[in-house]
Amino acid sequence: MTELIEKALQLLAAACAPEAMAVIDPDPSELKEAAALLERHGIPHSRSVRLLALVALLALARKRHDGVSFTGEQLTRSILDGDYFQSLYVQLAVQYEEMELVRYFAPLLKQYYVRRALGEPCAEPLTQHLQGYLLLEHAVPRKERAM
Amino acid sequence: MKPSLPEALQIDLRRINRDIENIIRYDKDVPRTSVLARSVLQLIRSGGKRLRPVLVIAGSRFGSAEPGRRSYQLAAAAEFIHAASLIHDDIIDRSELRRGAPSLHTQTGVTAAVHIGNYMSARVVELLSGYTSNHERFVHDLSALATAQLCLGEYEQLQHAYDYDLSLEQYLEKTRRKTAQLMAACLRVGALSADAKPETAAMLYRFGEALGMAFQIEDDILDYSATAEALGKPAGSDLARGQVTLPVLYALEDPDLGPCIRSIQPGSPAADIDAVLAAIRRGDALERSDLMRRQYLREALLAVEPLRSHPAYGQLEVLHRYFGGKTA
Repeated sequence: MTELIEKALQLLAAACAPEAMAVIDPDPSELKEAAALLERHGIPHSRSVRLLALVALLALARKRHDGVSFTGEQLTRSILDGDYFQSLYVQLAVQYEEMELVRYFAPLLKQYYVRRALGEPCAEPLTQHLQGYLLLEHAVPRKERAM
Repeated sequence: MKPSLPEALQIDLRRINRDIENIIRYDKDVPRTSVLARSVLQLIRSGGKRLRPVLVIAGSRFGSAEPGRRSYQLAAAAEFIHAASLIHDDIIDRSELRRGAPSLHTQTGVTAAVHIGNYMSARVVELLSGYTSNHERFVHDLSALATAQLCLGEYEQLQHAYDYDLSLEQYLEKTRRKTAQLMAACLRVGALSADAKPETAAMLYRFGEALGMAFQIEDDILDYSATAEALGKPAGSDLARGQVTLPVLYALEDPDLGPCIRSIQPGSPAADIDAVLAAIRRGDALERSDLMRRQYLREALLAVEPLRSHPAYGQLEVLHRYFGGKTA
């Protein structure tokens, strides 16, 4: 599991443009949970690395954008990083041909931001969405759904 | 009266505006009377030139199909993404006004505004996520590639503030990322949305990129040559904010002026900045910048030369005149 997380983080470090000088520091417990989930579902190693990297990008975007304020020292950096991680998530998902995952996650992520914008409490771990996606994929394989 | 850009291109702006508003109106997850719905609609209705959707529709006229629902949906998405970026830009710049009205974060607070911007981006991804096949991949260029490039342009701007050793290549790359690539992507995405040939879409991309470069260089020149009234912001604000633009790069080559420019740092007195501004205006930096702008305008036309006989070529001439200013 540790190796899976390390590889996902290495993948992200390579995917981020050097100009971004992005710090890849997702919450380790969330990544461990997601990695364990991927292993439990028997997802092939190379795909697990990519899926974990995508989840990590979403987690990073949330982390950067949560709690942004004028009094914070890193206001500009936090907003830019969050925006960059979000766009990189879509870019890599297209590259990895994981658009079905994007389609599944899209309304869930949007609903999260709706609640955040309205100041409502929401603590939905991304692993919960990943679990839902993997279960759906197990029930209806990807190629079949694309047809 | 001179026609507006959409009028000159015979683009139905009302339909575009309706499609932009429908993005939030038809979102069943957003309560109609919520601060979120009201804020987004207020921002969208506050004006703006709708340049991005106009470029998407102009591009779509190079397709084999009539611009249809997909082209208009992408045009609306391009504006929605742009509006989202404006919310975040205003927070970063701590701007209290947007299009003459209080900016969104001054009304909702910073945290809510950040997430309203995020909602808008996520809503576009949701709308476009239905396009999953390989031949429809291009639709994601707007929400992925072009947005990532915008961020990279911003990072570069941030890292090179007051960096008077910035090279011409670095300036051009930043300009390409911040302005030109989005214009190029809008034209390309529009073309592909109406089933244009890939080579036609690629030509339109190069046209849009060169036009975007010329447009941004003109903007950089205007910061020195136009009045505050015409700009809607203090003249010379780029220099005061440490933005090393093309006129500054050329002016730095002047052995007498170079050290004065380099002395401009955060917190420099207004009188020092004004003196440097006046010196830049007196020299040849603006003229040299304009030469480069014209070079990009020529490149733009060269890129689409093979399309000269296309029935929609006139659209490109209109865009060239609009973005190229009076000298195009």
